[in-house]
Amino acid sequence: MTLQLQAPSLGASISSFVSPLRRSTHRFVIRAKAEPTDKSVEIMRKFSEQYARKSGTYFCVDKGVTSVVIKGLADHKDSLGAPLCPCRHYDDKPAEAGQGFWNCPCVPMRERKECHCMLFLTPENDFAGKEQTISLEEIKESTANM
Amino acid sequence: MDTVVSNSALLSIPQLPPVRSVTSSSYSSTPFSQSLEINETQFRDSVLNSDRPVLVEFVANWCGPCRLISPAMEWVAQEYKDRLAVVKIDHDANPRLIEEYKVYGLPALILFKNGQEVPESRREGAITKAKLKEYVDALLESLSVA
Repeated sequence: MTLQLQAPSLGASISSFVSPLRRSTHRFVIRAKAEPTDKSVEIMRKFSEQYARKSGTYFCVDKGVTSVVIKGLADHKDSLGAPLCPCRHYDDKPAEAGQGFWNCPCVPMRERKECHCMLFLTPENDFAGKEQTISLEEIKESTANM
Repeated sequence: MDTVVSNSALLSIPQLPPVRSVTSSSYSSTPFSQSLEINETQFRDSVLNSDRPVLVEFVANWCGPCRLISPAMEWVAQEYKDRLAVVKIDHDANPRLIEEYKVYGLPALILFKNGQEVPESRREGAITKAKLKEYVDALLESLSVA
């Protein structure tokens, strides 16, 4: 009975604790790797296969690298609306995505076939594999522990 | 976790870092990890005030080449543990460090000694284990001569 009577006032005092808690949870969510949507992963997977064929480049011999990058692109597509390269730091991501230089395929890739993210590798690259295809299952499997 | 990290500064770091370093899970899957992930609040103690040179690796969550060099970095941490400390820093979670050291391409390696960035030690992108060894040997050699 006493508890019930105290409940409303408790409720009022609890609310002052809620915001800092929320804030830290929010930060946690941002820092933890948010999974990109399946739809965006599939779009970027298909794009990657097509662009590898078109540019005469190959996926990394370690398809885990390919998978991680495809997911990173999908993540940026979800959050920024554009597949900004996930292998760089940007002071202002939305501005960078709007500008487009580092949207995949980035300018260095289009002009010189330089993909520092190692999604598209020219055949002579130390890390180039022989494949230009990757399945959704491969992407899921190789990023399962992330 | 094998605690062969012999640097006293590193050992003094709390075992459970604050919320910000939750992204570490994607990089510390190796069971006997020698390479420690730190955040900007730990930077002064574990890097700037370290009594040994510290090789700092800046990484991103969805960065393929960061993942690719991870085993080689673990190898360096183990192989050079009596001469060198190796730490990893997530770029998204530590913007102040990124701003201070102007890191853009990832992964980025920078060697620190006596609280200073070692000139010409900065390196971006994936690297084979053999080339990483050459890089570390050359840097350690130059430090011992200097």
